[in-house]
Amino acid sequence: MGAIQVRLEMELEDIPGQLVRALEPISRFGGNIKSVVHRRERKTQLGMVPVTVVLEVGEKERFNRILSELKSMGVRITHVGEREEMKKRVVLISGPLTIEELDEITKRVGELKGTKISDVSLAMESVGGGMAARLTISGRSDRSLDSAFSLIESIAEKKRFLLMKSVEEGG
Amino acid sequence: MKLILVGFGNVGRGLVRALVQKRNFFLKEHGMSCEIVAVVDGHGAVVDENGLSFRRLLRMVEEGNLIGSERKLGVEIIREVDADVVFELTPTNIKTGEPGLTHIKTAMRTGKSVITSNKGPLVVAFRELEELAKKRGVEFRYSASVGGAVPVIGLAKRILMGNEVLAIRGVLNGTTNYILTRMAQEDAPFDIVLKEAQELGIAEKDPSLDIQGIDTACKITILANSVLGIDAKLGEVKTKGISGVTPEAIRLAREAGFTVKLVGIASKRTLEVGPKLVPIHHPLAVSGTLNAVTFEVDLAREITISGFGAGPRETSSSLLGDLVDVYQAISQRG
Ligand SMILES: NC(=O)c1ccc[n+]([C@@H]2O[C@H](COP(=O)([O-])OP(=O)(O)OC[C@H]3O[C@@H](n4cnc5c(N)ncnc54)[C@H](OP(=O)(O)O)[C@@H]3O)[C@@H](O)[C@H]2O)c1
Repeated sequence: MGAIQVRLEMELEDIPGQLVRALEPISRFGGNIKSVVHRRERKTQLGMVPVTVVLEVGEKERFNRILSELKSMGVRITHVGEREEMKKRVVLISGPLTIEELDEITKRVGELKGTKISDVSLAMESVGGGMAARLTISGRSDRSLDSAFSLIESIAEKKRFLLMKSVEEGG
Repeated sequence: MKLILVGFGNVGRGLVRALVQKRNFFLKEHGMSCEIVAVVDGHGAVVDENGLSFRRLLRMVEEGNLIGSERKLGVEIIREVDADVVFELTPTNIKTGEPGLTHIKTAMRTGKSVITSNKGPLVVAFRELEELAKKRGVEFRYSASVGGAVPVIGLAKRILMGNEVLAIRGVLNGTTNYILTRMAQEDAPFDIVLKEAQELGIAEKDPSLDIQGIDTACKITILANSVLGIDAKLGEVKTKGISGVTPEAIRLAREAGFTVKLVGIASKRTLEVGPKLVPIHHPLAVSGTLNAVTFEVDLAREITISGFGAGPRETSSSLLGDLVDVYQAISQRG
C-alpha cells in the first residue's frame, strides 16, 4: 500500500542499447515501469537524449538503490520528482445513522491533518430503518489513517453504530 | 490405554464410533491399543475394568443411550476406575466451568491424563489446570476445544515451534459463518437466515453464545493462553456479535471487494471479536460452516488453515490426535 510513484528525468547518450541499459536496474530492484518517454527531437547541445521514466516502487529504500545503481552506471539524472501515493482504507458503518451524522463524520475527518473521506456509498437498511455506509478514508500515512479511524470509532461507539474495518489492519 | 469417557452426546458418541472403527489402524500405525473402561453421562455410567465390548459400545452409540447403566456420577467413576486417560466431553459452562472443571481436576489428582473438547474449564481455569497437570505429572490436551477438526493449537504449538506467533486471526464459529454466508448469498436479513439455520440444526435453539460472539471469544481466550502465553480472561476480550450486520452492509462490502466475517483476534496488543471486512481472496474468507485461522508469525509470515469446525466425526479427529500424542508422551516417559 505504501508504494511511491517517481518521475525520473535523465539524459542518455544517443547510441543503441542505452535505454535498455538504463531501464534494467529499475526492474532488477523491483520497480514497476509505468511509462517511458524518449525525446530524440529534444537532443541537448551535448548530443544527449532526454528520457522521462515514471516508475512505481514498493518502498523508498528500493528506489534509493535504483538511483545509486543508475548513478554508478554513469547515467546522468537531471530531475527526481517523487509523489507519495495516498493510502486508502475502507470502513463500513451501519445502524441508526443519519445523513447529518455522516456529514459530520466526513467533516471531522477532513479537519484532521492529511486525511479525508474520499468516497461514500450508502444503502438504506430494510430492517431497523437504519443506514449502511461504506467510507473510503484517504491519508498520507498509516498514522494519519489510524487517527481518522480512531475518530470514527469513537463516534460509532457513542452513537452505537456498528463499525467494521478490514481484518488486515491493526490487531 | 484405558480410557474413561465422561459425556456421551454428539462428541462422545462420535469418538466411540471412530475409536472402534479405527482400532486396527491405531495398533498398526502407532502401536497403540485402547480399551474403553467406562462411559458416563448425566444419568449414570457403564463400567467394565477389562474394557467394554465393541458390540455393546456400538449398540449404545446406535441407541444414543448407555445400556445397563448404574447410577454413578462422573467424579465417582473418575476416582474409582483405573484408567490412563479421561475424555471430558460434557456441555460447556463458561461461568463456572462445571461439571467439566471438577471432572478434569479429579482426573489429574488421581494420576490420569485428560483430553477435552469442553471450552468451559479452559476459559475459567486455564492456568490452574495446566499447573495441576504439571504438578501431577499427567498430560493435558484440548485441541478439540478450538476449531473442531482444524488443528489450530497443534499447528501453532508444534509445527510452527521455530516461530514466534505475533497474532492469531480466526473465523472460529461455524454457526455465525453460515449465517453471514447465507445473508450474503440471499441478500436476506439476519433474523430470517438465523431461523433457517435453526431449522437445519446448524444453529442451536438458544444461539446467543454463538451470535453474540461469546463462543469465539472463548476460543480467543484459550488461544491467547495456550499459544501466546498471555494470562487472558474471557472478560478481557472486547466482543461484538453479528446481529447488527445487515444485508445492505454486506452488499456495500462486497462492492469494495470484501466479505463480512465474524473474526476473533488475539495478539499482545488486542483481544477482540467482531464482524470484520475480509478481502474476498483472503484465505480467511471461507464460507458456510467452515472455520479458518491465520497465524501471523515472525519467520513464515502468514500461515492459514481451514476445515470443519464442528461435527462429531470431524471433532474426533482432534480428540484422537490428542490421544496418540498422549500415548506417545506416556510411552517416552517409560
Ligand atoms: N458438537 C460439536 O461438534 C463440538 C465440537 C467441539 C467441541 N464441542 C464441545 O464438546 C462438548 C460436548 O459436546 P456435545 O455436542 O457432545 O454435547 P451434548 O450432545 O450435549 O452431550 C453432552 C453429554 O454430556 C453429558 N453430561 C451432562 N452433564 C454431565 C455430568 N454432570 N456428568 C457426566 N456427563 C454429563 C450429557 O449426558 P445427558 O444426556 O445424560 O445429560 C451428554 O451425554 C461441549 O463442551 C461442546 O462445546 C462440541
